[in-house]
Amino acid sequence: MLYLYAFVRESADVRDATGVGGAPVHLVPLGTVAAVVAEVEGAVESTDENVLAHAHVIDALAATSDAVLPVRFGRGFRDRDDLESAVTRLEAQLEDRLNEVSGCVEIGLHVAAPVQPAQPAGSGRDYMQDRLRDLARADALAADIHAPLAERARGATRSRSVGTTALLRAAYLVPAADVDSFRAAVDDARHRHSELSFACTGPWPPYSFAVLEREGAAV
Amino acid sequence: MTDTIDRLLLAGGDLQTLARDLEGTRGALPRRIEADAENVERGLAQLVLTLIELLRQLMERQALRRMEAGNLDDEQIERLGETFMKLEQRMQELTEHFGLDQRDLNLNLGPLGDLL
Amino acid sequence: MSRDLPLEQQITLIELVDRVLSKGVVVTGDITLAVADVDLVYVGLRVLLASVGTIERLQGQAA
Repeated sequence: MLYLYAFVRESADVRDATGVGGAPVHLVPLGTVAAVVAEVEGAVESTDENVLAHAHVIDALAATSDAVLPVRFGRGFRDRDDLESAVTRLEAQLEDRLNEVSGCVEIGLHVAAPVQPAQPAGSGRDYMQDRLRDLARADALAADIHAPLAERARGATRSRSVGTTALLRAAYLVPAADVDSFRAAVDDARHRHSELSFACTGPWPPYSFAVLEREGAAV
Repeated sequence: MTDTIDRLLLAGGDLQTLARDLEGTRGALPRRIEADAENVERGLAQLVLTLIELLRQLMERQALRRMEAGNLDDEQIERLGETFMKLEQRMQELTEHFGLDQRDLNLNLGPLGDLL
Repeated sequence: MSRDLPLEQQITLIELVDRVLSKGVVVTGDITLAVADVDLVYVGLRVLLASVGTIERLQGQAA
């Protein structure tokens, strides 16, 4: 079976990167793009080892190509024909995406607010008004941090989470050459809000920006 | 590309909380459901409570939106507020009972978060 | 995730695993070698949240 790692431009050079199960990767040209695949036997469990191997291949690709679209872990195809038929209708989208992420890396940001001990509210109405105020404040805080960073980046996405401790969870698409100045901008935000906790990771290959509009399986 | 796990560009504040928060919001559900017999109950409780927390927050936010839009009368606001207060308290009790913490109930909604 | 790692590396590792398992292009062939729980949960969540949205809309129309 063919295990799919990523899409690159057809002209990309794939050095020997070995991935899941030690299988060497190779290119399958599909028009203007190419799929980076490897032969594997049987199921591929999402063990830490396999996940790291997958990430390692993507990193190796990103080191030698300026445009890489990481594929999610665990996508397999019976054979080359199977792969081709699944990808043909996506070729144009893949090419567009590759152009968009070309020369860029992903920077992740996670901001948390200190856990507030629950305030015993008075009446039911007090509770509702407190909640409204808290949510508005959290939204404003998150926007204050996110907006200027999104402005600087070529692309930005945000995740919402249910837990109240996560104030902002975002990923930014940034030209590789701008990583240092972007980091400085994040640092500015951190100094503006010293009571919050910040974790900024990267540079990553553009995982969060490798999203196709009309694939159907995932959101 | 830099070394695989050497990618922390910047960090500040309470990293312990962040790590725990991240662990919880990774993927959509806590990846590590305890398989160890002693902790199975706790692991399941974490799953169930996380989902209940999702519903609780969804309902609360809907109600807050309606309140903001002026679609609720005083009595409704009061009643809803009391109900949510009690729910929150109950959630806290249950969470504590299983040796969990608010941060363990984080659930990353990803692109669906806009609906929240 | 190894708790023996320094916190900084724990954070990076979590971020890495999250990206590999829940981000990236999704192309479906006849075989999915590893079904990430996130795919199933997102489908389920999407149905739940969409239903909530629909109920709101319907009630809004009825009001």
